[in-house]
Order: sequence, then C-alpha cells, then structure tokens
Amino acid sequence: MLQLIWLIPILPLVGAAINGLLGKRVFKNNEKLIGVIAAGAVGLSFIIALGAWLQYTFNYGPSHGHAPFVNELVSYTWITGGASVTTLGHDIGRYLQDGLTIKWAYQIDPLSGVMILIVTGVGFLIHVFAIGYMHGETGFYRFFAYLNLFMFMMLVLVLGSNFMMMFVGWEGVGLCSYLLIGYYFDKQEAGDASKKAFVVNRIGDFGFMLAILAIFSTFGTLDFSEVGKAISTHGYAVEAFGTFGLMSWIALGLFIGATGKSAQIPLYIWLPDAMAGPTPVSALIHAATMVTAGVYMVTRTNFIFQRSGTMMFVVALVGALTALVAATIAFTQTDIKKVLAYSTVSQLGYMFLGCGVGAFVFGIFHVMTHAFFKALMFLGSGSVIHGMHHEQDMRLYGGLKKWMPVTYITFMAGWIAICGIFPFAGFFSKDPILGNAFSTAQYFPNGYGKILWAIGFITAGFTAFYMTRLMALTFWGEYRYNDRALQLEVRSEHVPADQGHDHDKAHGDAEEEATAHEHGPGHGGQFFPHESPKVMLVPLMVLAVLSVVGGWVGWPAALGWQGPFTRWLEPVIAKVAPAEHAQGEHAQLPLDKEGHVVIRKVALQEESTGAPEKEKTDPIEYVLMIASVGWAALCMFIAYLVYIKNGPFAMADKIANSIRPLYIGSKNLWYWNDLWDNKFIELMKRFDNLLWGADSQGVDGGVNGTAWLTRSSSAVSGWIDKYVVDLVVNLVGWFVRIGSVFFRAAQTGFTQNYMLAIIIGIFIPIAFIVLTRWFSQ
Amino acid sequence: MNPLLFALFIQASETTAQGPLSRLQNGPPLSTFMTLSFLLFILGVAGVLTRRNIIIIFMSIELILNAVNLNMIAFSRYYQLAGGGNIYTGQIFTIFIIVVAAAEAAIGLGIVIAMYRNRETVKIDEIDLLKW
Repeated sequence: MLQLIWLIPILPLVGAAINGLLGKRVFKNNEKLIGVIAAGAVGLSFIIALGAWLQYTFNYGPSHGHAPFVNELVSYTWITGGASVTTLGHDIGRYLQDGLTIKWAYQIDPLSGVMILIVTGVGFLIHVFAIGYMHGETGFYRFFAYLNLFMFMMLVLVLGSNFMMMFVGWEGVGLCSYLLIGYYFDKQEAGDASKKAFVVNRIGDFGFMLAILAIFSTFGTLDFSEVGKAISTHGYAVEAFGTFGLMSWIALGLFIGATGKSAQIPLYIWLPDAMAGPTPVSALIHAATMVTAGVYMVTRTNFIFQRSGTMMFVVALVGALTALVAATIAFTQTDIKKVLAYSTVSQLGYMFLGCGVGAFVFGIFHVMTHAFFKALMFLGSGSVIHGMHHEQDMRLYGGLKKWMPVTYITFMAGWIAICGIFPFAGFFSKDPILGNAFSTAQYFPNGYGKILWAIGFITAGFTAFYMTRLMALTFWGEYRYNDRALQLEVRSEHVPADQGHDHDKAHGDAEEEATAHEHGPGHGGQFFPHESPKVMLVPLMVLAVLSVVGGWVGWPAALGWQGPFTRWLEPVIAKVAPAEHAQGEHAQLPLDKEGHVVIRKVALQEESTGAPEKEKTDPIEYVLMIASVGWAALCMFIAYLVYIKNGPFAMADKIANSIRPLYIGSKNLWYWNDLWDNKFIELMKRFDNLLWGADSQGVDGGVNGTAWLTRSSSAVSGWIDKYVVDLVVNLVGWFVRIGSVFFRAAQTGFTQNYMLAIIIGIFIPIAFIVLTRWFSQ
Repeated sequence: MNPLLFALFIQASETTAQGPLSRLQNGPPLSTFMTLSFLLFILGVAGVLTRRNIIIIFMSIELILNAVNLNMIAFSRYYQLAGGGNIYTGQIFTIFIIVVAAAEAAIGLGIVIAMYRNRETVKIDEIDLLKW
C-alpha cells in the first residue's frame, strides 16, 4: 500500500478530468454518473490512504524509526539547476552537493498520514452529501470537477515531500477555493467574495514564498527531511524570546502564509465572505481541510518555529486573539453560515494557539476533531438551508427539530463537541491546548502563557454560548418562518457593515426563485421545511459518530488511559532544547518546575517516559479540565436562559441594548472590513492613482510624443514620395505614351506591310554589300 | 538565301562565261539559269507584296521557292562540272524543299479554309486584327 500513495492525489485528479471534460457534453450533466465518479474517486483515495496509513503506523514507521516514507516508484526530478553554488555563493555549497534538485515525490509520515485520512475521509463524506445538496444544479458537473480538483491539490499539499510541492498544493487549493466560492458566478456577492478570498490569500502567499526562498538560500535544499537534518546538524541555535534572528524571519514568512490560508488576524476577513459558495464547499474547504493547511504547515516546519521563541509567542498570541475576536463577532450574526464561519476562524485560532505554545500534536489533533464536528455542523446547516429552501437567516428558523429530526440529532453531537463537553471530540483536543498554554515555559515566559490561557479559556465559554444560541434559534422554540411581521422586519433590515446589502439582495433573488417552486415559501402561503434525502443524512450520521468518538484516540493520560494519537505524531515534532535565555527566565518564574514537568508530559511526551512519571499527573490538569468543562456548561446554561427560557429575542434584545456599543461593534464585525476598505485599500487606491498619473502623463506622453514624431516625419516622406518619386514614374509613363504615337503606326495589321519590311530588310544589306564592292573595284 | 553567296555567284557566272570552264559546259551557261531564277523570284515577291487573295499569295510563294530550286540545281551542276565536292547536295536539297513546300501548301490551304469559314473572306487586307 505504501508504494501506492501516489494514487491518492491522482485519483481525484482523474475524476476532475473526466467530469470536467465529459460532464456536460458526454454525460449530459447526469447527476448519478457524475456523483459516483467524483465520490468514487475520493472514496478509493480514502481506502488507499487508510491502507497506507495502517501500514506506515504499524509496520513501516516503527521499524524505520518513524522516518518519512518517500515513494520512489512514482517520483521524478521536477526542477533541476546546477548554478545554485555560483549564484548564491559558497555558503550554499556547504550543504548542497549537487545543486538545486527538487523532486516531485509523495511522502508519508505520521503527520501527512493523519492529514490524508482527514482530507479523504471527510472529503468523501462531503462529496456524498453534495450529491444530494447540489441536486438540480445546472453546473453539477462543474461543481464536482472543481471539488475533485481541490482534493488533488490538497493531497499534493499534504503529501508533498518538499516546500515547492507544498506551495503548488497551497496555490492550487487557493485556486479551487476561488472557483468554488464563485460557483454561483451570476451573483455579485459570490463573485466579490471569490475575488476577495483570492486577493487576501495572495498576501499570505507572498510571505510563504519569501520564506521558501529564505529556506533555500539558507539550507540549500527544500526537502522537508533535508532541511530538518541541516537545521540540527549545522547547529542553528534557538533564538530566545525577545530576539529576532534568521529563524524568526523564516518563521515569520511562513506564519504570514499561514494567516492568509488559515484566516487568522489580520487576514481572516475573506473566510466569512467565502460562505457565498455552496454549503458543501464551506464544509470541505472553509472548515475541514483547506483552512487547516496553515496549521499543517506550521506543524510541518515546527523545527523552524521551535527555534524562535518570539515567533512561537506571535503564533500563540495571534491564534488566541483570533479565537477571541471571531467568537465575539459570532455572537451577533444572524446568518447561520456566518456564525459557523466565525466559529471556524475562532477554532483555527485555537489550533494556532496550540502550535504557538508548543503543543503541535494537539494543534493537529484539533484539526482532526474540528474537521469532524465543523464539517458536521456545516453539512447540518446545509441540510437546514436545503430544507428551508435557501433561507439562511436564523431568526426565521426555530423549532426545526420537529421537521428535521435526523439533522437535529446529528447537529447536537457537533454542538456538544465544539462546546468541549466530555467525552465528545472537542474536549480532548481543546483542553490539552489550553492546558499547555497554561503551563508552557519553554519558548516564552510562563506569565504570557497564562494570559494566552485566559483568552482561550474565555473564548471557550463564548463558543459554548454562541453555539447554543445557534441551536436555540434553529432547532428549538417556536417555528417562526410563517410570521409575516417578523419576516418583513428581517427582510427590511440590512446588515450595516459586512457589505450586507449585496448579500441580502442576492438572497432575495434566491427567494424569488424558490417561490417559483411548487412549495416554496410563497407570499401569503404557509411554508414548512422538510427533512433532507438519505444521501445527505448518511454523511451527517457518520460525522456525528466521529464527533463523539473521534476524540478518543487522544484520550489524556490524566484520565487513566493514554490515547495513541500523541504517540503517533510525536516523531514529527523536533526535540529542541530550550534557549539558554529562556531557561534563565524560566528559573525565575514561580511555577517553573511544575510547568516544566507538565510540558514534558502533555505536550511532547519526550523520550519514552515510563509509567512512574505518568503517575505523577499534576493536579492542576484536573482543575483545568473541570474548570473548562464547567465554564462551557455555565455559558450554555446562560444561553439557555437567554434564548429558550425567555423567548428567542426578548431578553437578547434587552441585553443588547444594555451593552449597545459592544453589540453594534460585534454586529459590524468590529469594523475590521471597514478598516481594510477605508485605510489600506484607500491608501492603495491613492497610490495607484499616483502611478496612474505618472503613467498617463509620463509614459503615455512619451508614447504620444513618439507617435507625433512618426506622424510628422511620415508627412515629409509622404510629400517626397508624392512629388518626387511619383514624378519620375509618371515621366517614364508620359515618355512611353508620346513615343508610342510614332511607333505604333508601324503596326498596321496588314500582312503585306510586314512582308515588305522583311524584303526591304533583306535587300538593303545586299544592296549595300553589292554597291560597296562595285565602287571599291 | 545568303546575299553574300548570291553576290559571289554573280561574279562567278561572269568569269565562267569567258573562262576555261565554258568549254566543259554541256548546254546553256549558268548565267541563263540565274537570270531565269531571278526573274521568277522577282515575280514571286511582286505577287506576294501586291496581290490581296491569299491563294495567289501562296502561289507566289511557290514561285519564290521554285526560283530557289532552280538556282540549286544550276549550281549543283556547275560544281559538278568544276570538280567540286558532293555533286548531289543541291539536288537533294531541292527535293527536300519540294516536299516541304507540298506539306506547307497543304497546311496553308487548311488554314485558309478555316479562315474563310470564320471570316467569309480570303482577302488579306481585310484580316487585320493584329492592328494596334
């Protein structure tokens, strides 16, 4: 199976090619055929991925010291170049024997093994769901071709053995994201959102590209394992917190790339807008897989990040702040997908917080559990939107559990999981992240870690609150769609910021279309939702089960049994000794010893620590666990009081009025979009105008001047041509015409005239000869 | 006919009339043939230049050819008597000319008939399409 890993990305590519090229003309948009091809390709990939992962984890990995397995069967030299030493100097030559060589080779190691399982597994379920969700679309084949192409790119991203392949995948998923967000290209909103996503991603990609160049010029290679080896054998020291050296610069570039792709502050603004795409796309790309590429990349390059205390703190801080800010925005959103989008941004923040505090394993673990429960909830929301005929405003839902029982039950699993309630998946990944944040002291002073923990802890409560609000507004309470007054109120309200007017307009159009259907929400008529077809419900059920049990592989040792997940991923995480400076500070911190012990146990599981150390579980761990579960439960209860006990809106409005500024700020996304628009983009526009002026005055002036010169000189040469050259030609013509007056008379047309000429021609020479002889004698 | 040769023969005929060759002559002298030939030639040329009927022009051309033939025969004989080279050259040449003239007459008459069918005339001054 290991030798077959090249098939994992290729199969979806083949599916994309078949559906993209033949879908319209040959298959006539036949939904069954196209759906089977698309989902089948991903399903086959999943089977191969599962086989390869099993073989690696239980056979190849342990016997080869957990070294990555690089597929030699289907790999080739993709980019060659021998001039690196010449162009980059002999510093490169130290590491580089035979110049730049980049191979196109797929590699599997614990990290990419987990990632391909997530991508193909969740991807397969979402493909199946999409067959039901996209039923009746004219662009059905196009959708699945894009979706399969996305799978290919994402798998190249996680299976590539070097930074260049990762970059190809990185750009490829960006492209597919653009295509799929803009799937409804006839809607202004979708087109704008896709452009925004692409442009914002480009900003991040710029940083990533610079980082790749820096890595190459530092280490002379782009292969992950080669760079990893070079960085430890050539003794790049750990840059302590507060210093900013080469490693920090590289890490900064990589992290800018990650903020773009994974929607972190300041580049998160594209993700909520990306909800303009079809819901399966939101589930697959903007929740489960693509947006976690940044976390994957940071974990993949952990040997660089771990060598920079400053950047570790930046990563953790950005992650924590993103989690908090996104959660506060999610409080007030009324569009069900927007709430989930901000929730995704918030959860991604958690992942980065985990990476930043050194718990890379739990960052990836959270990627996995989040993929389960967030894909579940996005698909659940897709099921709701499908059942409600594309109504997305939660205020018009309510009481849906009566009509959509399966969706309701499965959604509830995702809700409890994201709230972090034991023993659902979210608990097992979120809690160790917070625990590590609380006790970290390896990269930056423990006091900062405590602050990060506090932010993360508060956010966990916020998450529980707004997710409960979503549940309450959607599934519980009274069914409100047929309330005409409320509907008018909702329709007339335009979300002030967030370019909401475009959204609502497009939304209204969808409404009109739905009305045309037989039982759409007509004006005046009563409308009731319906449960989705089986093809959509089965993926929901599978994901619901995973949201419950998926976290158990990472069961914490503190609760009696050690899950295998940390052991699997541990070999990927480089063991970097803390910087001298950090250790010095470490000694001064009050909680140093305990903190240190906890890291060793929870985060890194360094060395093969035996049972005795496991028994010494820090009591603070239990305290943290109980505290976070209790806090989440408390927030859920508050949300219950606000949205269930006291009606869906009455008490919420009262609270909103009492903290009016905060409410308005959250509703308007903290004016972050406006900041981008008014400050950065306006500035850029002004700069562009300046350039435009230079262009129109300077460059165009030059061009026009040249044109004028050409015109004048051509006028002169035209005059010469007309009056001199033509004159000569005409003179020749006149001469011939005048001359011909005499000569053409010879051509009489009488044969005898010609005869006479011949005879005269004969007789004149003869006469001449005869006469000259005559007289000379 | 090469005018240079023609002039030489005029000279030669004058010398033969009084020279040693005259006693070997068996019949009239060369100048007699040449005079007849000349007259025939002039007649032919005059016919070609003056007549308007193509058939008659043809006949005049035949006259010119026959003038030449007569010359050939006469010179052939003259050379033979003078002990010159190949004595039959002139006579064979003449036969060739007669054959070619016959062929030419046949083709020419064909052309004339074709022309008559098209233009209903054989007057040469009415056939002047090549005029400028």
